[in-house]
Amino acid sequence: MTKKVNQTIIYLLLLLLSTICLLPFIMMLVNSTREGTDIMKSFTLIPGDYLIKNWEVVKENLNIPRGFANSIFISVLSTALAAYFSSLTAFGFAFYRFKGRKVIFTIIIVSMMIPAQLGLLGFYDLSMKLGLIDSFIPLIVPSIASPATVFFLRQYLLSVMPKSLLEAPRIDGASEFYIFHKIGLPIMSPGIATMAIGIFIGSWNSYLLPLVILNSQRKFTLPVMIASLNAVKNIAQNIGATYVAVAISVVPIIIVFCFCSKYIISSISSGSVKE
Amino acid sequence: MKFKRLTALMLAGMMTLSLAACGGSASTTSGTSDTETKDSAEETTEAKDTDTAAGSDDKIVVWTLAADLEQFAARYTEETGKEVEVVVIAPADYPTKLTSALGAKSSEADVIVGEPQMLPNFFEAGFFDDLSQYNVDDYKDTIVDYVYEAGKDDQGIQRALSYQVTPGSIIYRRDLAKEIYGNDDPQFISEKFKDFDTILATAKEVKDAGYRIFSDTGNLRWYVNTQEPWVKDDVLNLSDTAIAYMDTAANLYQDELVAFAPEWSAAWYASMAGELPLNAGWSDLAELEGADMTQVFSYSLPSWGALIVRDNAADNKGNFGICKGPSSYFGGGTFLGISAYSEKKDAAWDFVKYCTLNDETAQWWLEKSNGDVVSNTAVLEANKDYTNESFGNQKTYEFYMGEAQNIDYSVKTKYDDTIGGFWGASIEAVQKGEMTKEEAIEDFYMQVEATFPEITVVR
Repeated sequence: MTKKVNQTIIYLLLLLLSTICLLPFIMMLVNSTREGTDIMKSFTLIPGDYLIKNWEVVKENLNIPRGFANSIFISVLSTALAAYFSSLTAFGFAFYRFKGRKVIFTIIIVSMMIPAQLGLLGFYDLSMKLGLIDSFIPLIVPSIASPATVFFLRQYLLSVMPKSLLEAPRIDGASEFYIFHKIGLPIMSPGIATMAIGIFIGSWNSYLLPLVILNSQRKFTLPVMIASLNAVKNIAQNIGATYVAVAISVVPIIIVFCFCSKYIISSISSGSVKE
Repeated sequence: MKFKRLTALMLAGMMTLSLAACGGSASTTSGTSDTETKDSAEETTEAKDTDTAAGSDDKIVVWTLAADLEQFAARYTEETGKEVEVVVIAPADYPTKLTSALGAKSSEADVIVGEPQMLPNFFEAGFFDDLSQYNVDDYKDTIVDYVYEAGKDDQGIQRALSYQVTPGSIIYRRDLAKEIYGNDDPQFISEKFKDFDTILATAKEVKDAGYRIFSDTGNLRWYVNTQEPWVKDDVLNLSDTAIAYMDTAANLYQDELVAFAPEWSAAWYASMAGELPLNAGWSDLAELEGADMTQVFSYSLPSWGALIVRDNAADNKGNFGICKGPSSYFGGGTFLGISAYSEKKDAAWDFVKYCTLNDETAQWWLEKSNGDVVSNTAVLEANKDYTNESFGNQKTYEFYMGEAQNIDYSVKTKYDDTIGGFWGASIEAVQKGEMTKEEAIEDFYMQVEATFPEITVVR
């Protein structure tokens, strides 16, 4: 009996939680089908019939496929770079003893605490001196150094990978890079996937940096593009259109999340050492 | 195994995407702007020879917060054959973008813009180039005086110009005016709004008839310090109108003479088309069903506000009139200038001139924008007999032209925006009863002293 009551409470709570999580999302989808003036005046969950017109406003003002391609290009590349190089660094910190490794690791942790916005002006200056303004390079390459990912992956490695796993290949004559690629990476992969979701979403939603770095409209990422809809004076018309644009921009995040979260769940349970 | 498949998929995806992206950019840029940006970045301040050869090198870049300029640019290209690239940036982030780029002396942008409240800071930072080298004084009479003045920095150097004017107005409901006073003539209604005391009396009359004079007390904020500056010779000047605004706002609020629907809220928009619930605040209208309903009699907004009212009026369209408030003022507007670090200043000037000082452009924009009030005096003059259906066949251009000419720009200071904000906060505290009038004024003084040490506060 108590079990049943408990279960009911748990289910109710979960139901409430998922409603809270999903409602804004559903509202976004519903609002994208409604007329701007209606959205401002009332709140409803019944879809309207304005989707096509909203989409036409978006199409008239923005080059969505272009922005989409730009955003995907930047996010995928920076996620891949961050994942690979962070795991490489984490592997080093976890298993090699070298001079100054504690100091360097402390520096990495400290740099985690400095907000990126602080360095914006300096970063712009640097990019300009390097002639990289209005290019994707300053948006992609710096992700190689992502201290938070390094920190997380190092802790993850220490907990899932016993040192003995390195000794066997070494005795067999494998090079260190070979060990990293063949043994380190696969074992770390659940951790990498977890971080990759975060990095991808962060890069996809990143706004301030692309806003400042990119100058030509055709290089704009999706968030910068969508925000520029605000500059069109007819506010009422824009709101519906903005919802459509935002709804489109969320699609890749959902895909990545579905893809990666399934992967995490399936492999987080399988450890490295088989009992 | 799974990981292998994942990486393979990711790699494949990346490869196709990078191919697509590279192919795309290569075909669209065709090497012009890409190499250009690199060159300009390396050379930074040293302005290149400005006489640019014909061809795509002539292309100028406009950074704007108003999408209007895209239409201007399209027409400019069509007429002159010169290329213009317009980059539209979200208004809220425009200062960030401009400050980081021009702070690093980037020559990316040729034409930059600003709204009046941003201009003093931009001028001080040296972002806008001096326009007097293009004999801008010759065009002084082409545009309305205050716009010309607003584009000057504190040394009196002309740095920006605008294609529009944004004079203030009271936009009122003609049908309600007839019902309450039996008269909807703008002259008559204007008398009802001639000063703060009269507004309070009018508010009571309007409430007796079952309506509310304004959506909220913020409607009055425009009329503060339109006759005298907030700061005079580095001394804070808390004028009588500012005090009167505080008293009137508190009265309107406490006697419930306004509808309590803040500007830009859902209820505010809804009020333009008809009834709205009292006390709506920022809530959704659906939650308020069954609440007492009322209607808003008037909106105190600059000329762009008239377009908002018109576009949201629905069945009330044509039911509005426009008249003068307690004093003439202006709010907003997009000002164009030349970036101090541009390498194509002559071409940039040509575009600025085309947008702001050209009679034909002004006439075209007035029609194209469907009601934007342009800054060009000759065009305003030519359209002054135009009767506007949306406002009961009133001659709206004539009205706004008159108001624009009444504006005294000399009272504007670079502190207005911030100090006005502090004063607004003090008023809010008083009307909600959180502070007494004396406390709020003292609080205001302290805020000003803390923010601007250079200003002397005389208590």
